[in-house]
Amino acid sequence: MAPPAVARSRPLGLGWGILRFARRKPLGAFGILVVLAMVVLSLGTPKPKFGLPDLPDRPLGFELGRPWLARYHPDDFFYNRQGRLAVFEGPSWRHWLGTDNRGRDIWARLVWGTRRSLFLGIWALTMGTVAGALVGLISAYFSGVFDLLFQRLMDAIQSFPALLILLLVISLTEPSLRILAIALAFVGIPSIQRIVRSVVLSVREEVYVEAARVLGASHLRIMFRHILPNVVAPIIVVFSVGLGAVILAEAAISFVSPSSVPFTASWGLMLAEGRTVMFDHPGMVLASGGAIALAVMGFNLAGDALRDILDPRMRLI
Amino acid sequence: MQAYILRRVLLNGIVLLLVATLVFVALRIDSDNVVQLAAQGTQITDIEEAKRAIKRTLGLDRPVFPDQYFDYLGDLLRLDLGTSFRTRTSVMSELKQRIGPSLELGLLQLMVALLVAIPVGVISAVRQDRWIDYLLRFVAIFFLGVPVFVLAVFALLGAARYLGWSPPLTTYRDPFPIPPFDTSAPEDLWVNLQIMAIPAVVGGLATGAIIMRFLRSQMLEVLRQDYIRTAWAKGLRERVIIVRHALKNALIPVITVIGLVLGTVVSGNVVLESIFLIPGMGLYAVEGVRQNDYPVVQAIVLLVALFLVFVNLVVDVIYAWLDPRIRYA
Repeated sequence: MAPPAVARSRPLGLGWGILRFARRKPLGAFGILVVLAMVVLSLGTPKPKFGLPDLPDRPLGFELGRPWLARYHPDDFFYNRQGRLAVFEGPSWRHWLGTDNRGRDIWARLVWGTRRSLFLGIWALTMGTVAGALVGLISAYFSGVFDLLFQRLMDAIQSFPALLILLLVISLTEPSLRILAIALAFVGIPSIQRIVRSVVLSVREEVYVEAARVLGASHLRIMFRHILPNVVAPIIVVFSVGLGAVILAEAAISFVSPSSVPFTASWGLMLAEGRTVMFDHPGMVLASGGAIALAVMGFNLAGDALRDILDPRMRLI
Repeated sequence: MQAYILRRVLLNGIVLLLVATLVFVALRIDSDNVVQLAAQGTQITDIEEAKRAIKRTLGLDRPVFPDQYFDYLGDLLRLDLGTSFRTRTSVMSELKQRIGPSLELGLLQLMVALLVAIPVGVISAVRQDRWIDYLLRFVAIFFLGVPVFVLAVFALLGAARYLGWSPPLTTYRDPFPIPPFDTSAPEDLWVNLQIMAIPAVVGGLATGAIIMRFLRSQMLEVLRQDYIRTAWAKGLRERVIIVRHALKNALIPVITVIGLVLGTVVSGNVVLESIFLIPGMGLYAVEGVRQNDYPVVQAIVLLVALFLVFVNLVVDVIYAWLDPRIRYA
């Protein structure tokens, strides 16, 4: 007897998969589009200049050149045909979004700012995720009094609003993007470790963990080989939503206290500078505010959609 | 109930102590920059002498533990939050004046948030998956996603362009005005409300979006319960069922969200106050940062964190009082 023919109801393949995702979760697809756009904006030709990883132009050790989509350097200013500083020009072929209060190209500053925000967020979140996952894993695995006290410490850290911690850190140190990244990571650790901890607490009682223990596996091996893989899915969600929060916090800090934050092409700084002239020349404010809003919304929506796909149990709201 | 309260007080007491310790440690990790900037701000020409004097004032020249630590805790208990580098007066006295506008803004925002979130959340839950639900959820996502200060700036712009109105703000030409600002809050109630209108509404809508989503999910859960089905079966009107039975139960967990959300409200208000020049604690913190006045920043961060822990304690107790099942968790 020939095996029954199995009819395929839908064509398989990556393209169709993407279309199905876009139809099922349109907002999530929009979010991921925004994320991809930000990544593309940040890309530039790598130059063979190596060094310690540093923000914003050398995040992985090699230097990234000028972003492909920005024609000018963020501090370049331009003169108009009369020989005067080209301030507040409208959109044109030369300056896609016009110029700002000092004759600098708004679009170029926006693109350089995208790279800064994106890499700052990735750095901060990577550090925070690694630290938070370790803390949550250890705290939940060796529960008891240690866990109790550690959770109180995490509660204490979480009682500080993120912005105030950033203000505190800025007032304590010479500001640099690296220190900002560390401070942002620190602020994110309690939430990350809480999620990891809840996963670990539920996985700890599984049969395969008990079996591993009986077979003589060390604590370290159990933690990393058996328990940790369960944590990957929630971590991905936390990462994407967290990027939005980090970008938001960084924009807020540059807005409120721009002298303390290096690197002039920052969305928050553009928003602050544009505020004084916005009633007459809303270009700066619309561009930078729109960028911040779009970026944060995009990461939030992408994170929500990822969470719905990967682990609907995590739905709090 | 007493056992529960005692447990929560003990646990939160530990958290309070840890909060104070964290702020204590923060300065002592690397105090050089703070001391340097403070010394540069004084009139003393010899920098080293100035630094030594500053260190003595801050108490940094004595052994960290036990001298500095217990002095610090003792000061906290006596509500002595240090002396401002800039004005040489006690931070506490300035804070007493500044707390009024911040409280006013926060309360207005909370009022707007609740006034908007409760009806919207209820409607969205009761008419689940109809067009009104999608619309309201979309609006909520918008207010959740877009940052508060961006919304506020856009609102200012929009009001000026399309309504021809802008709040009576005093200084506006300089993006980073150098403090001290005019810290006398306007006495006239109408002017006061005008200045607070946009930040209160914008902040309230942002907070309301969070509350609305949470309330909606709680309502959805409650509406599936058996006692609601009984109410329908008894023939009660929809409004009575929703308000008297469902909403009362759904609102209880929402109280915990209010406690959580207060942290974001404070953060948001730092920015909002600096946009609208509202002379509250947030603006005071920003001034402190801009003028390298570390005791001010430290005091505000400490106070806010302690306040949030306290609010969470109160919320825990109220929640347990309203929902007895929690007491045995």
